[in-house]
Amino acid sequence: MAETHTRGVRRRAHSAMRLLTGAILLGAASLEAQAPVVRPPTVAAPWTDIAQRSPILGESRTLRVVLPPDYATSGRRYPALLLLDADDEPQFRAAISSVGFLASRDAIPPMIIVGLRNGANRTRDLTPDSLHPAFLGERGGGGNRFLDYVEKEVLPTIRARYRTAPFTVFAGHSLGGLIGVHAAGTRPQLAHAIIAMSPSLWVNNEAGTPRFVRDIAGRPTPLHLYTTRGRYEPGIDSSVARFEEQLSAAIASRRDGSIRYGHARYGVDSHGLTPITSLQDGLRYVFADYSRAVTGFDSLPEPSTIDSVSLLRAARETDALHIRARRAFPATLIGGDTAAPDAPSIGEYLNTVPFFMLLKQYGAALEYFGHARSVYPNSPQLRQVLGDVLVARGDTAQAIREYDSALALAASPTHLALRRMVLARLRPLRAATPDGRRAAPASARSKRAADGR
Amino acid sequence: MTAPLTAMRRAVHWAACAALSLTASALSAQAPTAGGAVPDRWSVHQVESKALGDTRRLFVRTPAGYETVSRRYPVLVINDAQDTIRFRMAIANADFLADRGMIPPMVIVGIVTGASRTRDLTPASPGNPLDSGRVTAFLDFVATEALPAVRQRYRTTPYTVYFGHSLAGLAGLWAAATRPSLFNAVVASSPSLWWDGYRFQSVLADSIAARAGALRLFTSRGGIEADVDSSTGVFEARLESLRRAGGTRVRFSHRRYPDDFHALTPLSSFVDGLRAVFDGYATAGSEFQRINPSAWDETSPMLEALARSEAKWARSAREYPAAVTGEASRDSLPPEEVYLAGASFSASRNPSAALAIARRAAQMHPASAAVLRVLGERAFASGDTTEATAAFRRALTLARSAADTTAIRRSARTLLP
Repeated sequence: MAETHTRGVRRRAHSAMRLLTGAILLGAASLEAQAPVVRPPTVAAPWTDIAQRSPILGESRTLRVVLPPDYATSGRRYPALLLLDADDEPQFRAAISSVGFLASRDAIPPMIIVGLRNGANRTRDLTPDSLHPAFLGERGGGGNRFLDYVEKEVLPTIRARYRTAPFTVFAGHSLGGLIGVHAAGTRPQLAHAIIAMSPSLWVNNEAGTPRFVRDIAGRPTPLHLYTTRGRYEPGIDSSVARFEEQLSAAIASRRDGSIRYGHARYGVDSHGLTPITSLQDGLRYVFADYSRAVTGFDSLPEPSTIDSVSLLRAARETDALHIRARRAFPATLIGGDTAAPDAPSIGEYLNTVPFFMLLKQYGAALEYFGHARSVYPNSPQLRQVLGDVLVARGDTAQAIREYDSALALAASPTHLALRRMVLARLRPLRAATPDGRRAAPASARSKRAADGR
Repeated sequence: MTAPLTAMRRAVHWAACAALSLTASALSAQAPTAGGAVPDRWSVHQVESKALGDTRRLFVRTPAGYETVSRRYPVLVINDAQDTIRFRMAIANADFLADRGMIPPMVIVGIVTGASRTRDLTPASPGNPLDSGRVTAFLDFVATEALPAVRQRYRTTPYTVYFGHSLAGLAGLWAAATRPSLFNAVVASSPSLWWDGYRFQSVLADSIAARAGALRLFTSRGGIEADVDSSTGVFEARLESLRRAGGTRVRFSHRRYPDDFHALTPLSSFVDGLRAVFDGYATAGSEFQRINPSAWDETSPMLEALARSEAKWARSAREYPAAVTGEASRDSLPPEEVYLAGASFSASRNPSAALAIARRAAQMHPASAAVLRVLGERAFASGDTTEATAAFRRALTLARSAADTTAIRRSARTLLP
C-alpha cells in the first residue's frame, strides 16, 4: 500500500498554515476595535472566522462563514443560512456537510452558511423574555437585543462581504429555536424562513406561546416556518405539540397562504440529537418548491426500452419542473442562473446532455438542443453540445460548423477551458476532412446570430 | 424501472464532482496533525488488487485524537467514496453521532469504485446492458486486500461496519449473505434488489437469515424510488417474518422514507443506519435529558436517571466490550463521564441532586481527580466547605498533570492554601 503523499509535504503545509494564522492573530489585537478580524479557512476548519466587536451587544462576536464549493468561480449570488450555536463543532460540521449533500442533489440551493458563535451569555441572548424561574442561573431576556445584532450587524456584515441573494434562512436549536419562533413573529424582515429545532417553548410555563402564535399569524411578510421535537425531550415534546396545534389553527384562518408551517416529531431522538435531522428536514421543507431532486428523467423506463419520444417527454417534463421551480424561487430571490421566460437555464439544458449521449439518442438530442440553441443563440456551450452530437452521428461537416460557432461565441477569457476543449475536438475532424476549412463561413453566420441579427 | 437511470444521474453528479474529488485528494496531503484533529480530510492509499486485476484507491480517515492515543478503533467501510460530497457527509455525521455518544469513534475506510462500478457491485445479469458480475471478486478485494492493508497500517479492532447505497447496498447484502465473517454490521441504503429481474429480493433474505455469524442489519428505501421501494419491501417482509418465527440470529431493522428519492436516501439512511446497528451502545447523558423540566426540582428523578445510566452502561459494556470498540474503560465500571454528565446536567437545575450524583461518582471512582474536583465544586455550591475542602485536597493528590492541578486550584478558589 503506497501513500500518495509524504509526511514532509504535510509538515511544510502545516507550518506554513500556522505562520499565516499567527500573522493574522498578531494583527488581531491592534485592529479589533476598528475592523473585523478575519481568519481564512484552514485545512482543519473549512470556515472563515470573522471576529468583530458588536456595539449592540457590547462584546466581541465571531461569525463562521462557509462558502459554497463553486463560490470563487461562479460569480452568482447565494441565499444565506444563519445558524446559531456554531461553537458546537461536531454539530456545525454535520450541518455544513448536510447542506452540501442536499445542494449536490439539487434538493436545496447552494447556500452561504453563516454560523453565529455564542458570546458570554447564551441564555441571555436567546431568550425573548426574562425567565421565571431562572434557567441555569440566568435570568435571560436579551433576545430582542440579540435580534437587533443579527439584523443590524450580522446581515449587513455578510451582505457587504459576500455575494448574498435576498433569501435568508434562520435556524436555531433549543433556546436558539425559541428565539427563532420569537423572531418569526416580530421581525418580518429578518429572514424568509425560520427553522426552530426543538425550541425551548417550555420556558416560563409556556407563557410565550399565545403571543408567538398571534404574532406569526399576523406577520405581514411571507414566511416558511418549520419546528421539530423529539420524543425523548419531554418538556419540548409537549410544549411544541401545543404550539403546533395553536399555530396551525391560527394560520388556517389566514386566506393568503403566505405563512407556511411544517413540523416534525422524531420518535427516537433526545435533545442533543435533534439538530442534525431537523436542519435537513427543515431545509427540504423550505425549499420543497425549489427541489429538482426528482426530475422527468427519473420516471423513464428501463434504458433498453427508452425511445426518442419517451426521452423527449422526460426532458420536457424536466424543463417544466425547472420553470415552475424558478417561478417559486427566482434568481432575484436566491441567485443562480437567470433564464429566458418559460425556459430552463443554459446550465439546466446542459445537465440533460448525459441522458441523450449515454442512450445514444442523437436524433432526439438534435431536436432538443436545437430548440435550446434557438432560446439561447449566444451560448457557446450549447453549440459545443450540438457539435458533439453531430460528431456522434457522423455528421462531421455540420459538427465543424457548430464547433466554429462555439469558438466564435466563446470570445471572453472565462471561456478559455471551453475553447481549449472545442479546439481539441476540431483538430482530428479537420485532419480527417480534406475540405474541413470550408466550414469557416459558418462562424460568420453564427456571429450574426450572436449579434441578434 | 428507474434504477439504471439513477445510475446515469449519478454519472451526472460524478461528472460534476470530479473536480471536487481532485481537490479532496490534493488537500488530504496537507491533513493537519495538530492535536490529532483531522476533521473531514483523509489519506489516499493505493492498493494493487490481484482479485480485481487493477489498482484501487482507498480513503482512510482516522478519528480526532488518533495520533495522541494508542487505543484501537472499529472500522467503518463506506463504499463509493469517489462521491466525495457524500463521503464528507458521512464523516461529519459519524463524528456528530460519536460526539453525542451514540456510536463509537471509528476508522473510516472509503472504497473507490468508479468506472467499473456496476461490474464490481453486482452478480452477473446476462442480457443487462450494464456491465455486471464481479461482486465476488470485489468482496475478495475488500476481505483479503483492502481491509488487511488498512488493519496493518492503522490501529483497528476486528469489528467492522459496512455502509453502501444502491448497488453498493446490494453488494453489502451479498456480503452479509455469503461472507459471515467479513462484516459485523451492514447498512444497506436503498439496495438495488431489483437487480436481474428481482431475482434476489427473497433469496438474499433467506441466505442472510441462515448465515452462521451474528449480524446487525439495517435496510432503507424511499417512497419515490419505485423498484427499490417494492423490492426492498419484499426483502424486509421476508426477513421480518423469518425473524419473528425465530429463524435467525440477525438483528434487523429498517426504515422507509416516504418523501425520499434515490439520490436523497443516503443522508437519512446513514444516520439512522448507524444508530440502528449500534443500538444499545449509547449511555451517557441522554437519560438526564429525558427528565421533564417540571421535575427538575425533585431529586429522585435525577437519581433514577443516574441509576438508568448505570444500568444502560452495564448492558452497553456487555454488548460492546473493549474488544469491539477499542475503549479500554468499557471493561470496568461505568466511566466518570456517566456521572459527570449527570452532575453537570443537574448542577444548575437541582444543586442537591448534583451533589448526590457527585458523591456517588466519588464512591465509584475514588481515584479520579476529575470526579473529586466536581465533588468539591458541588459540595462548595451547597455550602459544605468541609466536604469540599476534603474533596479538593484528595483531588490534588490524584492530579496527574499540571493542567489537572490548575483546574483543581481554580475550582477550589480560597479553600486550598
